[in-house]
Amino acid sequence: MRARKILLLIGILAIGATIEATWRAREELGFGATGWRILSGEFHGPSHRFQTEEVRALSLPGVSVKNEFGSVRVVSGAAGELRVRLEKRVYVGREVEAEEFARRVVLLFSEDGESVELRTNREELLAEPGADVGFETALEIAVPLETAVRVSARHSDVDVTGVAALTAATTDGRISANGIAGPVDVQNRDGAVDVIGVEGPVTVRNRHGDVLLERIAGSVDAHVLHGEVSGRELASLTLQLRDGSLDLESLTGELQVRGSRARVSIKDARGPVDVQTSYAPVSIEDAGADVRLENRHGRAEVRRVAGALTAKLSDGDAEIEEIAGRVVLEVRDGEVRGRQLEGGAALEVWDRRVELSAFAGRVEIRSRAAEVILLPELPITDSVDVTSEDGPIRLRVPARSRFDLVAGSEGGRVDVELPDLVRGEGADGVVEGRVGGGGAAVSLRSRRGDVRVFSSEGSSGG
Amino acid sequence: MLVRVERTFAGSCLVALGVLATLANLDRIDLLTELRTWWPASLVVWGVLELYNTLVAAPRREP
Repeated sequence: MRARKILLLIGILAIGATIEATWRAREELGFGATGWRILSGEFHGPSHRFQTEEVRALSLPGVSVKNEFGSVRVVSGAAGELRVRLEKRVYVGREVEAEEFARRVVLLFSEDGESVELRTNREELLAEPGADVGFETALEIAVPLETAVRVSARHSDVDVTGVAALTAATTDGRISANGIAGPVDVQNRDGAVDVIGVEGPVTVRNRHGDVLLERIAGSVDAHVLHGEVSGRELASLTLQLRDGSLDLESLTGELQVRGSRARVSIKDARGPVDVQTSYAPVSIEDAGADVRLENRHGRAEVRRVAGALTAKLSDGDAEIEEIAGRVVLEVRDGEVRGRQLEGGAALEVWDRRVELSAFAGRVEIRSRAAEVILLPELPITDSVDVTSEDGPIRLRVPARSRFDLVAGSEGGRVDVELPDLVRGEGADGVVEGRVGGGGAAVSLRSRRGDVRVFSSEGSSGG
Repeated sequence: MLVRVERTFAGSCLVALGVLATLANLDRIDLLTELRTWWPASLVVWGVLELYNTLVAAPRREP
């Protein structure tokens, strides 16, 4: 590449960086001659506070609130009445000047047939020539219980309690919705979202910030870019989470999680669970229905599942316990430890190690190089089929087991130490026979690994 | 036909900048926001011109 082109590239990138920095400075910083300044969406400097209150009759079913720089708090109040308390915080050093400016900050009301719109005259004041006063307007609003509330805010906390429905959007602040009788739809850019005690469906969109969801009777649909999501006592949840974590406890309906680089912890989920994530561990305990799990580059722990488990891990260990339904598991590079798998298992593992203990039902294992250890505690009565390329296979046989055995290895040793084995005719490197009079087919085949079958009575299993 | 990449690119950028500035003066757009959105497109334009020269125009000139 010629020097001219390199210089041109550097020039373009420098111009781009300048544009980005200027844009960010305009969004995040502001300085006024009267001493105020904005840093990260908040005013700083000497200030004075003033309050006014207005009460109006309210006959429409909705209230729409717009505000910038200042919190919005909505609570349920008297029937047929809209009560608004406005706190004006003016960032001017001298109180007289601050009071004079505060007198000009007023509430504006308008109606559109469905709702009353309420805002301050911030835009009009800032549009005046020479306007150079920083001010915040905090609104405390009481509306009738059956009111649907809409809040559109910037650089504001929003706190709404005890109304019929809520639609809220803000930036750089916290949104709290508590005790809402109907649907809730909240959007935040950089701040936390708390939604507690909602009877209707909930939609949450949040870019950077934690999300708390509690006691929600309707379905929850949440999209979170970066943040920690925690939920308790939910009906159902669909979550998209880019970076962060999910801690969920007590869910009665369906759960679907699509995460990337998101840690997932689920306890007591009664409905079907479907989790996809990567680069972070997944833990699922006490699931009342089927569990489907996919994790790239992360480990998984699944315990006490009443349904089936279908899981796919690229590289990460899997620890599974007390699964009532069938387990279908694929692990490319990780160790698998399974215990009390009541409905059998179909495993596909590449490397490392597989250990299944206290299992029942039909078991199929395909291994490339993983060591396979099977330690059933109840007598074997269902089929066991293990094939491996390079890995060794070990099977401990409990007393009173009944099966037909085929154990073979092309390049490894085959040791069968079962006192009640009735040997049949096997080819080279293959032991065939019947145990307990015969029954289910037990096939253990490795191409290059050793195969060992031993009795649980009087053997260490080493 | 080979394109003079630097000149074509600089001309395109000037035209784009002039259009954006004019629209901003007419209060139709916010200049800084639009610049922030679209400046990476200049790299795409430059890359397309270079690819055109390398893949299309240069092979045609070979005997």
